[in-house]
Amino acid sequence: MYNSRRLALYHYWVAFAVFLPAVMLGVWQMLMRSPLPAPFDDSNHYYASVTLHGTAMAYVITTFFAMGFGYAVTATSLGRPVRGITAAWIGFAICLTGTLMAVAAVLSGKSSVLYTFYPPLLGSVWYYSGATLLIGGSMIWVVLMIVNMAAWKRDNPGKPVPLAMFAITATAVLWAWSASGVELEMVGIVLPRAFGLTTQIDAGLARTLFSVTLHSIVYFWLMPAYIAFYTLVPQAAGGRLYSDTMGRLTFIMFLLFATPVGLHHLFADPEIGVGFKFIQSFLTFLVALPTLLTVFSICASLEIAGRHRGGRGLLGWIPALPWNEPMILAVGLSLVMLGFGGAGGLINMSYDMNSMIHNTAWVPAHFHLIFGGAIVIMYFAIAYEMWPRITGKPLHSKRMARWQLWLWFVGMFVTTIPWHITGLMGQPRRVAIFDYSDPLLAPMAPLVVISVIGGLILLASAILLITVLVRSQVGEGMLQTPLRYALAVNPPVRVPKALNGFALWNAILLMFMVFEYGYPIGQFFVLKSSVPVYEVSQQSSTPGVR
Amino acid sequence: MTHDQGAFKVDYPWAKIGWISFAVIIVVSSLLGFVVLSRYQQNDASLDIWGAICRGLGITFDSGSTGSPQPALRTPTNVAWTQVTLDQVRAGDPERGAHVALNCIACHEGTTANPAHLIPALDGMDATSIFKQLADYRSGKRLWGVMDAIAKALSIQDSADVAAYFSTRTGQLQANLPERVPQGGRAFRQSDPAARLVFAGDPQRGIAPCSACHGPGGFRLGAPPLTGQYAAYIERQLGSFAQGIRHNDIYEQMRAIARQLTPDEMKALAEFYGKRNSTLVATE
Amino acid sequence: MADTHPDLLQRPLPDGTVPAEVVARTEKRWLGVMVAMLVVMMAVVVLTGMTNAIHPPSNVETIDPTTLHLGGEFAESNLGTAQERDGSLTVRLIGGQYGFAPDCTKVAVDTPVKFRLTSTDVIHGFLLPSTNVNTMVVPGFVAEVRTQFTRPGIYRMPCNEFCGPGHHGMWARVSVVPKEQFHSLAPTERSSCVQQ
Repeated sequence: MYNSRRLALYHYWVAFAVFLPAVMLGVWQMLMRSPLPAPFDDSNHYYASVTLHGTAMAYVITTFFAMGFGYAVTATSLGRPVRGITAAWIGFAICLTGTLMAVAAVLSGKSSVLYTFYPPLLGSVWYYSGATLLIGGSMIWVVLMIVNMAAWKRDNPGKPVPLAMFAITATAVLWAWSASGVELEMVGIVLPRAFGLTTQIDAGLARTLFSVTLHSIVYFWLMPAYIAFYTLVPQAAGGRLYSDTMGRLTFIMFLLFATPVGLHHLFADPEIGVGFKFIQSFLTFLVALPTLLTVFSICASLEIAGRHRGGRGLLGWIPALPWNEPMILAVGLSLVMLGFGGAGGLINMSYDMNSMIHNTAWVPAHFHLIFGGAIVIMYFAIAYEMWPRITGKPLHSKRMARWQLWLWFVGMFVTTIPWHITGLMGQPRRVAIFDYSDPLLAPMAPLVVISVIGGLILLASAILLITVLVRSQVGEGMLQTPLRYALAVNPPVRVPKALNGFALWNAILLMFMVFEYGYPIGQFFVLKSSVPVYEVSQQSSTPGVR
Repeated sequence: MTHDQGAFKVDYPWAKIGWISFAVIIVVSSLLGFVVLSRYQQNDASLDIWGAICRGLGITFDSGSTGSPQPALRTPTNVAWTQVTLDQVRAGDPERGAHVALNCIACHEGTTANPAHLIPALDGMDATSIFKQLADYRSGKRLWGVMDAIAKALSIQDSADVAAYFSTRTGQLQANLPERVPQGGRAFRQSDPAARLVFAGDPQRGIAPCSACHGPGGFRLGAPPLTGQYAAYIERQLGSFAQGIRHNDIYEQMRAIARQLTPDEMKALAEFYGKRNSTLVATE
Repeated sequence: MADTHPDLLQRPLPDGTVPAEVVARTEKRWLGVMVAMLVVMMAVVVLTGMTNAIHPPSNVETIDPTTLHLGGEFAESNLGTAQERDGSLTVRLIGGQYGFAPDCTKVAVDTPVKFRLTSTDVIHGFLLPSTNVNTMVVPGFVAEVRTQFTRPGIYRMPCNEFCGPGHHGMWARVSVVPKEQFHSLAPTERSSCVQQ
C-alpha cells in the first residue's frame, strides 16, 4: 500500500468512530418519534440529534471514507506511492477541524438546523464554518486524485488508466461539481449572514444552490461502493469483470447526470417553474441508467465466477459463489436493497408522483434503504478488505463479519419498510413527537414500533462492526497478499482518450449545468425575494442586552 | 485482439456521441417541459405555446389580487418586523429608558399598585415585546384603560428606550436561561396537562407547544418570555384572547390557541409559568 | 480474500472466456431494454401530465414576508376561503411558527380549489395526506397548489418541513363539506371553520 497505509487508516477511523455514536442517536430518535417511552424525551434534544446524526452520516463518515478509500486505491491500483502526501495530511487536518467545530456547535444545542440547514432558519456560525471547512478541505483530496491520475498517465503514455483509479478520480471530479452548490450557498449566503455582514438572505436561492449538491452528493457516496462492485467483487468471487468499457461508461454517466438533476428535490417548491422541474426530472431518468447497467455487469461477472467454480444450470452459478466471503455476501445483500431503494427513488423523481411522498416519512425510508443499506453495506465490505492490507493482520473473524452484514440487511428492511408505509399514509417527516391518539396517526403506531425494532438490530450490527475492526487491528500479524483488482474478461490494451480522461465529459457537464441551472439560479438576481433570518437558538431579540 | 469489438466499439467517436446526446436531451426535455406539459392547467383552460413557456418559467403566475374585491381591511397591529422596526428597537438606550421608566415601575415593579398581579412584571422582558405592546396601545389596537394614555405620551424613541431598560434588568422573569442538563418528560406521555401543553402542545387541537415561542428552550420574535410571569396576568390574557377582547396578535396566533383551551387548562398553564422555582428553571 | 481458496489463485481465469463480441452484444441488448423501460416510465409521466394536468406547482411569485398582515392579499381579513365568479374556491392561508391561519379551512367537495399560501418567517410545508396537495411554503414567495376534493371529511394538515423547535405542534385541518352544506359566498366574504 506504499505510503497510503496510515493515511487511509486514519480517515477510516474518523469515519467509523463517528459512525457508532451516530447510529445510537438514530435509535434514540426512532424511540422518540414512536409511541414507546424514550429517555430524555425533550423535542429540542430530538432536533439537535437529527442535526448531529444527519451531519455525521451524510457529511462526515462519507467524506472521510471516500478520501481514505481514494488514497488506498491510488496507491494500490497504480502500484506506486501517492503523490502529495503532505497535502493529503493537511487536508485531513482541515476536515477533522471542521468536523469537530460542527459537532461541538450542534452538541451545544445552538445549531439545530438539520443537516440540510435550510435558511432562513439560521444556526451557529461555528456549525456553518465547520461544515465549510470539512467540505472545502476535501477539495485537497479531489486535486490529489486528479494529480495522481494525470501523473500516472504522463508516465504511462497510451496505457489505459486502471479502472479503479479512473473511477475514484471520476468520484473526486463529481464531488467537486457537487460541492460547488453548498459551498456557494455557504460562502455567498449563509456565512455572510451568520457573521453579521448582511441582514437578509434569499431563501429560494439558498435552496436552489443546495439542490445542486443534494442529489449529486448521493452519487459521491455511491461511487466507492460501485468501485467495489466493479473492481473488488469479481476478484473476490474468483472471476473477472464482464466489461471494462461498461465500467468506464458507468462512471462517466454518473459524472454527467448526477449533478444537473437537483431540482427534483424542489418539485414542491414555489420558486421554480414547472418547465425546469420537468427537464431535470427527465435527466434523473438518465442517471438511473448507469445503475441499471451496473446490475447487469456485476451479475454477469458473478455468473462467470460461479460457473468457473462449477455451477451448472440456469441459476446454478448462484449457490456456487463463495458466499462465506464478506465481499460476496455484501454485494448480494446490497443488490437486493438497491432494487427496492432504487424503485423508491424512481417514484421520487417522477415529476408528479413526488407529491404523494414529498417530505413524508417515505423520504427518510428511501434514503436509509438505498444509502444506509445498499451503499453503506458495501462500505463495510470495503473496510473488511482494507483492514488486513492496512494493518498487516487478518480480519478478526469472517463469521462475525457475515453476521454483521446479515444483521444490517435485516435491520434495514425492518426499519425502512414500515417507514415507507407510514409515509404513504401521510406521516410528515422531521417531527420529534407524534400524538398517536390522532385518528390519522393511530394506524401508524404499530408500524413505527416495528421500525424501532429494526433500529435496534442495526445498532447490534454497528457494534459488531466496530468489534470486528478493533479486534482485527490488535490481532496477531501475518503476511497478507496485496490487494488485487479484478481483471476484465477482455482486458483493454488501449482505450480512447474519452474513456481515459474527463476533459470531454467536464465540458459537456458544464453545458448541462448552464442549461439546467442557468435560469433557475439566475432568476433570483432579478426577483426581489430576500427575507430576514430566524436564529434557531435565539434567546431574545436584543442579544447582548439581556 | 483483446479490446472490445463488434457491436459496441471502444473506438466510437465519443465526442460526437456525447455532444449529440447532449443536444437531443436538451431539446427533447425542453420541448416536453415547456411546450407540451406546461400547457395543461388544472381547473383552467390549456395555454397556448407562448403562455406555456412563460408558465413553465414561472414568469406568469396567478396573482391573488386580480382585482377581486376584498373584505374591509382589518389589521391586528400596525407593527411589522421590518428592518426599520428592528433598528428602532435596537436603538433603545437603557440609561435614558431608566428615566422614562420612573413612571412605569410603580405598577410594573411594585406590589402595592398591583395586588391582584394583573399587571405584568417587566424586569427581564424581551425588548421587542414591550415595544410592540406600547405601539399597539398607542394605536388603539390593544386596550387597557390607563395604558392607552400612557403609551400615547411616549414617543417611538421613548418606547425603545424603556424597552431596552426593562430588558437589561434582572428580576422576576427568568427569561430564557439555557438549560444545561438534558431534560425529559416533555413529550405526550407527560401526565401533567400543563407541562404537556407547554412542551408538546396539542396538535389535534392545533395548539403549538408554548415553550417553542415563550420558552423555556424556545423564542419567537414578538412572543414574550413567560417563565416567572404573574400567573393571574397570564390567565387573564389567555381569557382575553379566547374571547377576542384582545386581538393584537398577528394572524390570530394566540386567539386560535386560546379558543381551544379550557378554563382549567388556562389556569394550569398560568400557574406553570408563574412558579419561580419550577423545575423548568435551569440550575445555574 | 487473501486466505481463501488458494486453488483459485493457482488457476485464474484466462483472457477471453467470453468473446468480446458476445460481451458487447449482451451489454447493448440490456442497454436497449433499460432505455425502453425508462422511456415507458417517462411516457407515463408525460401522458398523465397532459391528460390529467397533474403537475408540481409552477407559480413563481414574490412577496414581502414582513408586512403581510398590514394589507394586501394576505391581510388577516382576507384569509380563508373565497369564492370566485366561476364557482371555484380560492383559499388563502398563512404559515408561520407554529401554526396556520386560519387553522380550520372549509371548502366544498367536488369543487376546484386553489390554495395560496405564504410564510411569515421560515420555510414550512403544507401537506394534505391522500391528496395531491403537498408544497413548500417559502418566505418571500407565494406557494400555490390546485386541487379538487372528491371525498368529504376532515383532512389533517401537518407542516412537513422542519421549521424550528415547535414544528411537531404545527397541525391544522381542512374540512371538506358536501356542496349543500357550503353556503355560497359573496365576493367580499371569507369563510373558515375556526370557532369564534
